[in-house]
Amino acid sequence: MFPYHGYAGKWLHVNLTTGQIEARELDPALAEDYLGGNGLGTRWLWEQVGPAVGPLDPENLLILAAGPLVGTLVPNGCRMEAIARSPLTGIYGDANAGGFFGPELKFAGWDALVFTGQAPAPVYLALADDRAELRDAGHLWGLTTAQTEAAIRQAHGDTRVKVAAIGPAGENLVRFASIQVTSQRSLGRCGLGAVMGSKRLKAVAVRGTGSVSIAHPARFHDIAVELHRRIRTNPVYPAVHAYGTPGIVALMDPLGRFPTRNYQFGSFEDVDRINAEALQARALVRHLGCFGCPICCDKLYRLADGPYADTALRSVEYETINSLGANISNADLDAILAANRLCDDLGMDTISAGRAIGFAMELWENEILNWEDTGGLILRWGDVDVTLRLLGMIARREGFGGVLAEGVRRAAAAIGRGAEEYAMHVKGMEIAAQDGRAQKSMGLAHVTSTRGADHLKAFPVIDETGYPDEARRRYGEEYLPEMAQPLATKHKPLLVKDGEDLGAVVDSAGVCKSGGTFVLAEVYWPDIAAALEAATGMEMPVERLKRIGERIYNLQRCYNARLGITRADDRLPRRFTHEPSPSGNARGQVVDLEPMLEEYYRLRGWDPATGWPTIEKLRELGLEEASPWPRT
Amino acid sequence: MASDVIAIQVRYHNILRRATDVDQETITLAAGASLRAALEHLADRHGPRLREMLFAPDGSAASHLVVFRNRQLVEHGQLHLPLAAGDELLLFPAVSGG
Repeated sequence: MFPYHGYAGKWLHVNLTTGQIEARELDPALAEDYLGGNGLGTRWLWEQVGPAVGPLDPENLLILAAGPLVGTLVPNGCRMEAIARSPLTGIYGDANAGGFFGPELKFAGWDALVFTGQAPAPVYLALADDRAELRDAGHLWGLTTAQTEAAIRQAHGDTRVKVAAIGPAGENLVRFASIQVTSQRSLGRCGLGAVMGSKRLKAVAVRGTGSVSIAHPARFHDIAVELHRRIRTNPVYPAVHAYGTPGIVALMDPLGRFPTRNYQFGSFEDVDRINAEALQARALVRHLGCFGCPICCDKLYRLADGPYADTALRSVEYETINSLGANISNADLDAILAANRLCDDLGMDTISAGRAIGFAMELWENEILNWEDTGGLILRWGDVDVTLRLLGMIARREGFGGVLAEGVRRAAAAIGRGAEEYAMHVKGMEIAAQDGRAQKSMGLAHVTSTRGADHLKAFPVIDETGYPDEARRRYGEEYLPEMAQPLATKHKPLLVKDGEDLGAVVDSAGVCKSGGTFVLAEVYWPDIAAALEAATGMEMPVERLKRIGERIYNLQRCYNARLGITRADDRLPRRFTHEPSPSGNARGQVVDLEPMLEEYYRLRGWDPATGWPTIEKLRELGLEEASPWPRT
Repeated sequence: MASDVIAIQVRYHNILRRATDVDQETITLAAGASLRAALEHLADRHGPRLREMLFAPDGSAASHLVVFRNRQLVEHGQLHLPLAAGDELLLFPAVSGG
């Protein structure tokens, strides 16, 4: 009997090579030290996927996990995690998605699914409560993610089945292939769809009819209700509810934080044509929400007419509006929606896909690419027809699309001729729609993220436009005004470290970073600790929870260190450190990275020469066995 | 000869736009007017819903109001900032993310 509530207490091990499926009991010590979700996956990956296992080798694990708060009453307890060694970066990889799959997995009675091996022919896992079987997916191979979901639901005769599926991009091992979850929420980053494709696992279909047990129901109910109330009365709530993440498009532009034409600029001259107001006027159908979410930042959109008439989709996000909009100088909102839907159907991360195309367009602008390289394609900024065509070519690895399917780092190396200078990535991960020159904490966050360039590990929203009240409440008056100033570097290492540790806990518990913890800056360490304690029955003082977050983040860093990652890899593309921003509030700014990095290592207890956790820090966290240091 | 009035362009975004029902407008203020004077003018013009979004109950700037003057972020609470003829103000509710 598993000693803690909130957990199913068991996980499913699926060997795709042999077809063997085995239910295993969850080790309570793992829950105590790593919570679940992201932490659980981090630990298993470190234990079982060593440096000799390549990301696309059968021995790589694909872990799908839902933490102890998933499927409960707390606000937006809906998030699921995918963890594997990343085909895009070659290092630790994870992705996180909302929607309903995570809760369904818990309702079916599982904390995690772990896939290893490679099926001899395409299969999908059909999971209904405790009944699990691998089924033939030969008829699904080649279908889009939406078609796959529809076919599985039809075959099961149940529209409540939740499906996580790859599309053609995952099948073709595109290094930024996504796993689409019912079917327009994305486990987008790190190319984990390619891991799934390498295993010939087309989909996972889950139906659960159980529930999540709670240790102290009355206390937990009161905590959950209070968190819902606080979120709904948070001053940022109305704007996030009204417009979702597209609501920040217009705001990021004058900040100079809205990457345009592959980060040459931080503002887009046609931003008014693609901002949230334009999007809603053009295509809004209704507001939608993930499981248990009081915010409902998700929306359903549909184009009623025009060249892409009847294109319908949800989860049009800020990131995609930028990556497939301003980033490629595209002000055609309809085309952005069409490209977004195409990426969802093909199963590709819209961020990396858009960045790859923006990278290629800048190479064309600088005559580094020509017709012979592209097979006759003319890569002019803003050409939507070429963009849509290129997305299909990437997913099929057809012609020049096969070059971009490798991600910008590998594509630049293959192209040569100085192309590396235009490849905007950190550790192989394409940078998302932020510009560290406009928000200094983000410049640091991009390099310290354990999965390569990423805004979501640290998610430093406090200084994005300036939340002085939240900065004061979380850190104290002595950290103002700099902590809330986007262009200041002072105190930002603390903001980033705290965000990374908190984020590790949020992703391990299974709640949403847009749903109160980060975007609203409402839910913080004490709230999560209280909710976890009431849900699980595990004693959870705040200091213990902080230690868990720190442990998870340090283990991810150790995983990368074991693969050879050092401080030398913690660097930004030259554009961010040497080319002053020409735009908006960031005009004239560069990222002065090294002083922030130095302070960050000090706060973390990491060796400043290597960027590795010191032995002392590892001992403090109970991670001596993960030490990357040579044994003496 | 210096004019005794200045014209300021104001653009609203997000839920502020919903409170005003206009995307943008030009307002006229006395020469030497401050940001506070501009916001007071707007609150008077558009009513209590907008006022709540611009000012805290104690009359200071609302904690989640973001203002750009000529595309430069105005430090929170700097209502004494003097405005000049031709200035453009961008008004947003604070939101974040990415």
